[in-house]
Amino acid sequence: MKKTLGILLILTLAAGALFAGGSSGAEEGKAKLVFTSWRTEDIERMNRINKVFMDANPDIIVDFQPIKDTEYDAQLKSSLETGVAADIVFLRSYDSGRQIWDTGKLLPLDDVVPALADFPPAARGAWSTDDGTMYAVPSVGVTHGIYYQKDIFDKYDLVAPETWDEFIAVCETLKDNGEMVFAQGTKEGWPLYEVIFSGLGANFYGGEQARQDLMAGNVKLTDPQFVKAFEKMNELQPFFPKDYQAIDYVSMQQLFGTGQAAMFIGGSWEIGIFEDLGSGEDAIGWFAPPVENAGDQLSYCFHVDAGIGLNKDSKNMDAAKRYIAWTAGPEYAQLLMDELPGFFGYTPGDYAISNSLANDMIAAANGADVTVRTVWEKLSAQSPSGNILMWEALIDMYNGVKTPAQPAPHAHTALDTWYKP
Amino acid sequence: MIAVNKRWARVLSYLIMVFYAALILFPLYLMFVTSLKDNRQIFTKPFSLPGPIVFSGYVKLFTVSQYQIYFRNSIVVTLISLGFIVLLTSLASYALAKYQFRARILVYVYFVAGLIIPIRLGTIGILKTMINIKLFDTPWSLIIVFIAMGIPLGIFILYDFIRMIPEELSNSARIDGCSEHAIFRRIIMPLTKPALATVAIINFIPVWNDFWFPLILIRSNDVKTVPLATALLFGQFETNFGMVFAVLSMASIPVMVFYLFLSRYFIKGLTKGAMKG
Amino acid sequence: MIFNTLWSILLRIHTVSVRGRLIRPWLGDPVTALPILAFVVSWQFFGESIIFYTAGIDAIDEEILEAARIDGAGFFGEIWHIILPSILPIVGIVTVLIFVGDFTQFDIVYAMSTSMGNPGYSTDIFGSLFYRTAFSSPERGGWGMGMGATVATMMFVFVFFGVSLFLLFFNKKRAKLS
Repeated sequence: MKKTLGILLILTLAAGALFAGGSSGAEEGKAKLVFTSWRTEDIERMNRINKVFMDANPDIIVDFQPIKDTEYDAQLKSSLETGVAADIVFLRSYDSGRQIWDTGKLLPLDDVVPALADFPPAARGAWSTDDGTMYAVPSVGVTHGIYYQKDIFDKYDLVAPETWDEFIAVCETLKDNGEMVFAQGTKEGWPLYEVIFSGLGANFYGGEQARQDLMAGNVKLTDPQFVKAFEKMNELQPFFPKDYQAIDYVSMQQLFGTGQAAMFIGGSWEIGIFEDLGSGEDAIGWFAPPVENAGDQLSYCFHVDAGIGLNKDSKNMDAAKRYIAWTAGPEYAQLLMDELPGFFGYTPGDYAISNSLANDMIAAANGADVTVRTVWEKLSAQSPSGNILMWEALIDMYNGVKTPAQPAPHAHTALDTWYKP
Repeated sequence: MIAVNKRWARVLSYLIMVFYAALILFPLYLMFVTSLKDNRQIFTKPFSLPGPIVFSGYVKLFTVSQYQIYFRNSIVVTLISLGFIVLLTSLASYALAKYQFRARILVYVYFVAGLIIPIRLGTIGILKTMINIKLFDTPWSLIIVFIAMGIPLGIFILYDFIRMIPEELSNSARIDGCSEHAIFRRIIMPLTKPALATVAIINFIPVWNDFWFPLILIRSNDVKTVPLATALLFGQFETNFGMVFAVLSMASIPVMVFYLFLSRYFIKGLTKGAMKG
Repeated sequence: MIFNTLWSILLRIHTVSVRGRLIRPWLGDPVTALPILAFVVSWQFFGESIIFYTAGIDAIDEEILEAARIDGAGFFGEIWHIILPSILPIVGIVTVLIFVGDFTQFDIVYAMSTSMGNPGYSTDIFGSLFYRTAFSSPERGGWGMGMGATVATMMFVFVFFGVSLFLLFFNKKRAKLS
C-alpha cells in the first residue's frame, strides 16, 4: 500500500514535470509558431518550405501540425474558442472559413499584410467579410478534371476528348476492350459532388452564372439545367468498375495510380499522390472537363481552396506576423508550386510551373468561365448543408436508389427549409 | 475446470481453441509483416513475408510524426489513471464491504450504475465542465474521465472479493491493536492483490485504446495520445500503409507486455471473488 | 478486443488488393457493410466475455459436477443443467455490458467508415450520429451541441429501456431456475 502510494506520487510528480516541459524541442530564445492545416500528407513538403523561412529567420521555429481533414474544421473552431489553437491556421474558402472568423479569434490582416490589396478579387472574396476586411491570405486553389493513363490510351489510339460525346465514345471503346474505364467509387460522397458534379457538371448547368443565380434565388436546383447536369453525370455510371459501391477514396487512388484503370476523374491535388504510386507526369495525362458541343466555352471549376489566417491570441505575435507576410509573398508561392504541383498560388507574379500536368491545368483556365464548387458558397453554412445533401443525392443516384430526376428535389427541398436568398 | 473425459469432446475443444488462437494471431502476424513492407509490396503480395525489409515506416514514425511524444503521453495518462482507479476502488470497496452504515447499498448501486449508464452520453457536459475548470486540452482532463470510467467495474469486482475475506482476520488484528488503516494495508491489500491486478488489466485496454475522449478533449499536439494521433494523422488522403501498420504494431506492444506481465494474477483474481453468482 | 483499427485497415487493403478476384469487398457494399461491422464490433468483446465466463465456470463447485456425473449426466447435460444455470448471472452481466458498449460504439465505425457511416449511411449507428451532430461542422453534418444533447438523451432512453428489459429477463430466468 505504502509502495503503491509512493509509486503513484512519483508518477504524478514525474508526469507533471513531463507535461510542463513537454513542448517538443522548443529551443531557448526562439519564437515557436504552430502551423496547422488539413493536409496531413504534406508534412514533409511543408517542412521543406518552412525550412527556407527558418533559414532566413533563425529566431523563429515553424512547426507544421496538420489534422485529418474530416475533423479539421470542428477541431479548429473549438480550439480557437478555448484559446488552445495553433498560431497559423489554414482556412477553407467562403462560409467554412467565415464560421472561423465569426468566433472573433482571427486577426484582420489588411494592415498586417499590405500585399493583400494586389491579390485577384475572386480570391479576396473568398476570405473577406461583407465590408471587405480580409482575414486570410489566399493561398491555394485547385482544379478538377480527368486524368488518363497514356499507355492505355495509346493502345487503342485514343486521344483526349473535347466534347461530351467524344468522351463517352472513348469510354465505350475502353469498355468494349475490357479495360477498367474509371477508377471511380461511390463509397464516399464528397468526390462525387466536389469532383464529378462540380467539376464535370458545370459545363451542363451553366457554370458561374448559374451558381450566382442559385445563390440569388433566381434559379432552383430543380430547374432543368441542374437536372440535366445530374442526368449527364449519371451517363458515366455504366463505366464505373465492378463493385464500385465499395470503393472508397484511398482505393480509388490506388486503382488509378497503379495503372489498373484508364481514367480518373479527380482534382489537381492528386498529382503528387499519383507520382508516389508510380504514375508520374510521363505516364499520365490530363484533360479538362468535356464541353457539351464543340466550340462551347469551358466552365472550369477552379476552386479557391485554402487561405492562411492568424490566431489573434498567438503568443508570438511578432513572429507570426512576419511569417504570414512571407506566405503572401512570391518566394512562398514559388516554393509551394514546386513542392506541391497541382496547388496554384494566388500571389500576383509570374511563376515557373515545372510539372506538365499542372501546366495543362493552368492553361485550361485561359478563356474559360471560372467557377467554384456548386453549393459551396452560402448554401453550406447551416444544417442540412448543401454539401451533405449533394453527397447523399449523388450516392443514391449512382447506386441506383434514385433516378437522375430525384437528386435535385432531394437537395432542393431540404435546402429550402433554411436558405432564404 | 470441468474435466472433459470424452475423447471427441477434447479434440473438439482443442480444435476450437486452435481456431480461436489463429483468429487472433493471424491479424497480428499480418500487422507486423505489413509494417515492414512498402506500399507496392503490400498490394502485390499482401500475405507473404516482406521481400526486402523496409524500415521506413518506423523511421518516419519517430522523425516526421513525433510518435515519441504520443507514446509518452499515452503511457503516462494510462499509468496514472490505472493507479488511481486501483487505489480509489480498493478503498471504496473496502468501506462498502466491511463497514455497516446507512445508505451503504445505495452508494454501492450508485457506483455500479456506471456499468449500465455509458459515460459517453455525458460527453457534452464533460466537455463544458473541462472548459470551465480550465482542464480542456490537458492530460488531466483525460485522467479524470478515465478514472471515472474505471470505477464502476473496479468496485463491482472488488466489492465481492473483499466481502469474501473472513471477518475474523480483521477482528483478530483489531484485538491486537491494529489501526483501521493498518488492517487495510497489512491484511486486506495483500489478500486482494490478484483482484487488484484484474481491475488494472480489465481497465488497461479501454483506457489505452480510448479514442473518443481524446478526440473531444485534446487539441494540442503535445498532449495527444497514440490513438488520437493515429486517427488524426492518417486522414482521408493517407496512402502510406506501411507506416499505419508500424504505428499499430508499436501501439499493441505495450498491451501485450502488460498482459504477459500481469496475466498470472488474472484468472485467479476473478475466480476467488466477484463471480460467485 | 484490442485491434479495432487493424481490422478496418485490413479490410480496406483487402478491398484493393483482391478486388474482384477472390471475394466481394464486404465493407463497401451497403447490404453487407453493417453485418461486417457487427462482426468486428462483436470481436471486440470476445476476449472480455471469455474472461468473465472462464472465471464463472471456474467458480462452480467441483463436487456438484462430480455428483452430476455420477448420476449419469452427459457432456451437454452437464452444460445445460449445471453450468448454464450457475453462470446465468454472468450471462446477464456480459449481455448488459455488451449491449451498453455496442450502443455507444463509435471507434470502429469511425475507423471503418468515417463518422458519415459510409457507404450512404448504411453503417451509421447512434455513436456516429451523436458525434456527427454534436461535434462536426455543418459541412460534415453537424447540427451543434443542442441537437447533440438531444441525440444523447434519446440514446439514454434506449439504453435505459434496453438494460431494464435485459435485467427483467435474466431475473425471471433466475427465479425460474432456483
